[in-house]
Amino acid sequence: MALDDKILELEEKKARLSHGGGEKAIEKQKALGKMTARERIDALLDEGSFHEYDMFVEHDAREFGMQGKVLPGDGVVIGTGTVAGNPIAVFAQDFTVAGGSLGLMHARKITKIMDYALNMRIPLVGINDSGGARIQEGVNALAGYGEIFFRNTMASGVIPQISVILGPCAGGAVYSPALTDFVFVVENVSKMFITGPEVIKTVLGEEISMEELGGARVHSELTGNAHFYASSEAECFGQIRKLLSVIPHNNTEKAAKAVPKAPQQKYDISKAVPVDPSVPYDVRDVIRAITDESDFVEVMELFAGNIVVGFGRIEGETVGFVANQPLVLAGVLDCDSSDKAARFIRFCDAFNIPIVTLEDLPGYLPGIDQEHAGVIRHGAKMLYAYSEATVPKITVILRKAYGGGYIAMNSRHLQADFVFAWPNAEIAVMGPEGAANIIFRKEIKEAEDPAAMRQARIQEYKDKFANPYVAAAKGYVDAVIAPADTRGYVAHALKVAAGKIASRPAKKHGIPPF
Amino acid sequence: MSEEKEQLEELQTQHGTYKTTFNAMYRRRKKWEPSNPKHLLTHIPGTVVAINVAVGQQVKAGDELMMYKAMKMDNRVKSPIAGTIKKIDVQVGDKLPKGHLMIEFE
Repeated sequence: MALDDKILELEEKKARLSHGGGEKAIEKQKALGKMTARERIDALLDEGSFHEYDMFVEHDAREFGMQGKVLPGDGVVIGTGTVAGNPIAVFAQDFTVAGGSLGLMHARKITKIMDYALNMRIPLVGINDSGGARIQEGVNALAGYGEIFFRNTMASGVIPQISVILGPCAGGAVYSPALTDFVFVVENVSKMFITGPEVIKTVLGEEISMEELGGARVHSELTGNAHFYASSEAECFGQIRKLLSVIPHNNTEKAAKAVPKAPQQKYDISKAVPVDPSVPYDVRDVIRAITDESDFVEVMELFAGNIVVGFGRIEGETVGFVANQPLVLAGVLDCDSSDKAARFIRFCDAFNIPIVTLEDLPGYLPGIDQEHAGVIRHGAKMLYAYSEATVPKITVILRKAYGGGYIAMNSRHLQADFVFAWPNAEIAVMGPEGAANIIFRKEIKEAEDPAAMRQARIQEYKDKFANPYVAAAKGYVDAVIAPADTRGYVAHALKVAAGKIASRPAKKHGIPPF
Repeated sequence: MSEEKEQLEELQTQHGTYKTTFNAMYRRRKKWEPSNPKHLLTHIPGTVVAINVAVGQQVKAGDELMMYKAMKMDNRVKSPIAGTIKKIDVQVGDKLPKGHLMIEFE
């Protein structure tokens, strides 16, 4: 056979394999409003940049009618490509081939591309769309999952790992995404759960749809398993490309610097925060008043909205923002918000991203449910994450900083590098209302006009303690600044802290209160 | 600027009272109920396989009250206290969620 013919034969083989599970299965996939595995990869990567590997891999299962069964690519597509010119590794499960079920060779392809990603120090994007373990392959399927989980863990904190849930992801399969840094879900497409509706019906007699049990909305709002929510696959891939543009591509690099740009003029920082500490506002307006072009990539927008986390740039450099959100639950810390912030802080620290904390919170959420859900343990995660972080850490106290919340929000005492406060900041062991009720309890009770006496005492406490100067007098606050100067002070602090070296005692690893 | 003009709620902490909005998780919180020592609840989802006692019967702590199948295992449900059975709230074959009332004592 001449070389030309052999090339022709290769092209034919590739064309056949590229067709995945065939016309009918692809039609079915489309009918569900889903893209095919290869379409998804193309949507994610720069045009024409995808290079596929292991296309000719075949399974060697023999039992239960598997012998002779042809599964193109064994139900998964792997390869490398570029996003905005930067290399990344990618795998996409192909639901049109045996429901994207995971057998040994399917898993081996995934672990191969994970090894590439880790060795080359490039980000990994995994697109999940699978019915689960290929039961016919028995314990080999379980072995496959285990080998993936181990690599997820090894790569954690070395390269960014992104999981995209574009179909079912059930049973053990959910733990690979859960071990990665960012999970993307799409409305009506993503379904994640340990035990599905059928098992729940059999065991409990309770009926629930997949969407209600583990749909995109559930994981974005209630469980906190998902970090980004989109209403279409196209929007989702746009979000991933955007995220990859603001984060470093491994833990030895900094995020690529962008051309510095001023924030948009419509975000007026001087008017963003009401003086009355009980009146809410959207802290994202403060973030946008500080960041280049007022751009902000919010992470976990729908979960624990009482804390806002995400990435923005200041003078072209990526920073991670952690901000109390007075608009939701008054910005209190609770189990979920502590958990959310702690994880984000650890991502920033692992990937050399300075952390800017914007503080305005009335302490912790009171409640029996909070105490019993372990707010002590969850809250401790945040203290741990902030204390452990060695990246530049800058805090701006916008308004309220009371009690334990003050300590937790990257205070000087947890080794913040710079702490700034606005003139109307209230840094105190308690809020004026709460403090007056305790200190002057008897006086208020015995007064002729208790309400007037309470107001007078609240004002007295406010004048004495609810300001930034008591903390500034002790050096806990480095500078009291006008709101309009915030971006300038933060940008300068970032410049000064760029070469920061903070040492920590040698250890195998700490024991965070997981 | 965010254009959300949601209805504001009030939230009180030990530091003061604040106007804000509630999120999905906060809205779903359950009201606390103290546990009643005279109520026997399920600890795990499962199915009632057998009931070995009747209303009015006196039992000692540790007596086997029922057989309850959960996670593919038959579990002997023993009486947590000594007392008289006041009411049996389940039947053989019932599939129960966690925290469901099974037996009440006098």
